[in-house]
Amino acid sequence: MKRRSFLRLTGLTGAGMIALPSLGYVYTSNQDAAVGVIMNELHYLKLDKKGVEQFVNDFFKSHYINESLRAQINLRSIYYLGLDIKKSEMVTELVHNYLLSTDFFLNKMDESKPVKYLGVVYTPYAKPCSNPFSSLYYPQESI
Amino acid sequence: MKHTSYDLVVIGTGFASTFFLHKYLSKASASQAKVLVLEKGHLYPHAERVKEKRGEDTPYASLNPASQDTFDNHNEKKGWVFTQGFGGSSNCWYGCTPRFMPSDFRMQSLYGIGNDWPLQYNDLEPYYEQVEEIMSISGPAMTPFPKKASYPLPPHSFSTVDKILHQEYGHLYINQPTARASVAVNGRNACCASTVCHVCPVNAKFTIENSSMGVYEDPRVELLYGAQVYSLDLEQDVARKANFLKDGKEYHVAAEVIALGTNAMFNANILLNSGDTNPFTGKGIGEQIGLQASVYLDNLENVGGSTWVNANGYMLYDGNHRKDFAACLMESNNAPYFRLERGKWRQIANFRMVFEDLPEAHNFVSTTADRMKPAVHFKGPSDYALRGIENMKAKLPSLLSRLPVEKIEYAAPYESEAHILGSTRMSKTAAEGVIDSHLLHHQYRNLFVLGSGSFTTYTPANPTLTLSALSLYAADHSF
Repeated sequence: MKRRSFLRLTGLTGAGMIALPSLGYVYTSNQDAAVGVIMNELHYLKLDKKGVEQFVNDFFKSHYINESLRAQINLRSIYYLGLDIKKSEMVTELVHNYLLSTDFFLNKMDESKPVKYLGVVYTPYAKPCSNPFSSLYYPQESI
Repeated sequence: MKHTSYDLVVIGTGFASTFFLHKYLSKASASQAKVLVLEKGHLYPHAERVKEKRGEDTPYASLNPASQDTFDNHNEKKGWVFTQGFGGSSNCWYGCTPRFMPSDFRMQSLYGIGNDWPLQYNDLEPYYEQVEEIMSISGPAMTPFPKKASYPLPPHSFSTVDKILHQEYGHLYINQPTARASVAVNGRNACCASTVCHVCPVNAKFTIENSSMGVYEDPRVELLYGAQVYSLDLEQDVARKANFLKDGKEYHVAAEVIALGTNAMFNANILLNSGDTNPFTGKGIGEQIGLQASVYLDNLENVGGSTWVNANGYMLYDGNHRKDFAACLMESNNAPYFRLERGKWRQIANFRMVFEDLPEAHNFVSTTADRMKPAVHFKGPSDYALRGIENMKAKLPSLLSRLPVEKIEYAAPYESEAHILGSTRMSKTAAEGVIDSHLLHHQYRNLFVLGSGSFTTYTPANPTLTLSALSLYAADHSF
């Protein structure tokens, strides 16, 4: 069986459990893995690491990953194996949510500017009217 | 309950019941009326819903049951989304209010599909206008359906992609008519594009709770919460009583007129529990079918615009193709999605493509041993709808040729459109359906069966505006 087929069949969980203990990943916290995934995925942006750490702490408060061993293994596997984040919906959401929780889109996606966490995980219920692509930020006459 | 007998008993407090009551109460003959409204659930105020969404505790959260616990679903692959409690699905709808097209009412005459409705677009036109006024609809000047009056509020703004498509297709690509207020009105705030319209964070969307219609404050109306109707006494072609449980106790209330205004599942269940033998009762339940098309753009930022459903495209809706496959309504989506690709962040546009379906006999509601709980049997969408999806996939690239399209990706269909249709369909005669054009049961002539269960055929357009207009029409012509 080819390696790719094997991975597809067993899923990330199985592959991670076989491959990763030797890498010492069991000693890494979910927080460290999540910060690492974000920093790696967005390496070309000027990220504020302390802000990323704060975001991850906030994001994981009452998040199901705290009770889900499978989600934890998926996250650490993606971090240690450098896998595509799209292999996990949760990890993809983590990175998406991080960017939405920063000033990156408010700065009109200017990749040369430092990216700062705004201090609240993005949700319209905590921060209504914050859809950064809407006409509130791109007035009709400007587009 | 103040009386043992009422002029009118209405069951449910969603759009269908509320608009029916609104018109009933406005008629001179109803000035001394005694009206009882039986609501299965409870009021869960908007402010408390927002608190729950923020992760805060609220005692209201457990008052109403989760909708999926209220019926037996015989097809786990098919979801049926709705909300229980005062105001019904006004508490979860997205406020999308396109009218139907005139052709939607004449599918048999024009295309040989399904049956014609027993009323036509022109019959409903004045009532569409009344609902649009009450809901303070925001909408454009040009529409693909005929319209005599302007919308009460100005339209929401287009995104860059919407602008291009509107330039190309004119009245076939419009700002969506919507009950999300574009400017503050009637105690509602202006929509600010939060894109979580099911519970609007700023209370911009029309709901029964914020409607200012005064129906449930009217002194002629008595509203009972926690009253679970399970059947009606049907005798000698007359609906005599409504039977319900409240706080574990049985009640029976007599009425001159009864209006069933629960959703298409529960209206059918109540009728079947009551011994209604019309062969179409419970038959043909269904929904539209929808899926997401993600359009990746080359060097075009999709920015500006308003909220989740920003515009509607009618390019695949009406025409002779409906003889062979389903109409499709496009909804452009302005949620804060983006590409995780350097330099291409917002070079993407998501559309929800919504297809009509057909009422088919093998999709039906039946009763269960638990009289409160209907069973829903659904085998799947029709071949007609599935052919519509294939046609859309073939045509969409050329329809979007004005855009710099890199690629289009299609997701699997959603499990529900949250529009439950067609279990008590409307028809000219009892040989073809359950109710007539006034939403009166063909056999029980003092029994109205309201809501989207009445739809003779399913269009791709959102049903709320039309079912509300039907309630106004029925009450106006009957009292």
